Amino acid sequence: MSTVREASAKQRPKRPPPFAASQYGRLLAFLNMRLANEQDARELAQEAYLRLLRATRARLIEDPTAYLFRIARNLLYEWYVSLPPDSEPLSGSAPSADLAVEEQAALAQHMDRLEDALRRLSPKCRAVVLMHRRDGMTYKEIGAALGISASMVKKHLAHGLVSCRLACADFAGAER
Amino acid sequence: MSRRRELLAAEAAQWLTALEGADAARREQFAQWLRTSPEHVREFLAAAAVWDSLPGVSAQPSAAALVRLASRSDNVVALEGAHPGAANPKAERLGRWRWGWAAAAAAAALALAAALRLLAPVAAPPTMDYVTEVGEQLSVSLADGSMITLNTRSALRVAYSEARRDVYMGGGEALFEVAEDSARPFRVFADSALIEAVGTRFNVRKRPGEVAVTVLEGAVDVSPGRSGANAAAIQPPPAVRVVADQQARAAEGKVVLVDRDASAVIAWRERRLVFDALPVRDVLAEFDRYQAQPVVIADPAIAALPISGVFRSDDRESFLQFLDQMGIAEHSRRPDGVILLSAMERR
Repeated sequence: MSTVREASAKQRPKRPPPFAASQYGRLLAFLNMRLANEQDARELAQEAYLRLLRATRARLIEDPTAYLFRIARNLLYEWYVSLPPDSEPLSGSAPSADLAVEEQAALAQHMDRLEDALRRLSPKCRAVVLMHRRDGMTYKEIGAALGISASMVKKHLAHGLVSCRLACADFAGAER
Repeated sequence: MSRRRELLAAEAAQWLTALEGADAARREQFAQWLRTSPEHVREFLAAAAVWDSLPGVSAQPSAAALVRLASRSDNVVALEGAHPGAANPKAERLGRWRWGWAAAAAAAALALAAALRLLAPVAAPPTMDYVTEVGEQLSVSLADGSMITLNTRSALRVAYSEARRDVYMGGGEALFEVAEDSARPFRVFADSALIEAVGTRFNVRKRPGEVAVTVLEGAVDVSPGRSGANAAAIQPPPAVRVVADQQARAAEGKVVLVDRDASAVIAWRERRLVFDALPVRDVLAEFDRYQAQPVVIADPAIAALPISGVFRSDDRESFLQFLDQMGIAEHSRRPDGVILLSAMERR
């Protein structure tokens, strides 16, 4: 009966997980790339959501972001091990060169879009985003350098992030 | 990019910037936000991916150059301050609208309580309102360890005091997982019905004119309250004890007890809908709870056909395809977006 689930299982990529999962940034970027398919993306978000609901309050509150990322990592892993065994010449072989190329191209495109989006920001907003994300400066340090309040720094940062996020919309989460 | 998505993107970005060194209360707010809907989870993951890949950007000016650029722009770009703020009022408005389920439902709940003479003349305890929109689900952890999960398009008010734990259901459906506390009864008010529990799990679905209570664990007492045939009765009708895998339906001042597979009733938590020989019109009504746009049955002959199966509640399309594949009915989309269901043409 669950025609949708079966249909999407057939379309799943027949490859082992190529991520090292040492850094969440890579993991998330990878996750989003895999989720270019709207149906898959919705199913995964759905499942992540259900797991969040099942989490005990205490554990979730401790560090909600880390908890969500753990869920995402587990899901991605389960996603791959759930592939039927005959769908893949399973020999623990390294991911194919094709995949690496395809993935790198997608990642490169993603970074290009981010840089474009950054260039379109106002100078102050761009300064805030780069100082915080690239240079690792605190809100206070940025505020001091630019002569604005820490809360203003936060606002610039949120605005810059939305712009970058929307510029990458079809990469990181499909558009409606 | 839909409006709703833009708002979500703005909210996700605000959370990402606010989480650094956030205290427990703030983290709890964030967890609550995250648990609003799968779309929230998805948007946050997508935003976090961007956030985490930003450190990798190259070909951008150095920090010193950025300071120069930013300060130079101060004299020229006066409008710039409008940008970051622009997202905020919208998000706030959305928040107010979402959580501000207020006057009507609250008044109804209070009137209800007053009618039942259950509202003691003491200071009203602090209350919390929870509302879900079409397609949303929401889990709420309460201070006593109890947990309430709201299904789509539902509204309820939680009023905890030292003496009791009261919940008023404005509408929709919710699963209650009640932590044991014999000193403080846990009660749910829905229309004129009163549901009383101690340490148990049960599901309440409120429909116009009927309240259905299904027990998964333990037992609850369901009183129909004064309505329907009993509206003028001096003594309210007695409570009916409901145990696991039983369902009590309170309507018109009466409670009817039937056996019911409780796990099928709460399949909505996994976004599944389980139908056992249910007529097409009722199946569609179930789906409509999760969709903004209803399906119109153009052919009355289809409406009564029984359907059995398990479907995803957020995927009405697959049900329509199922009807098509089974040769039961075909659907078409009118220009105004309404989906018409009509009998299969005989070949």
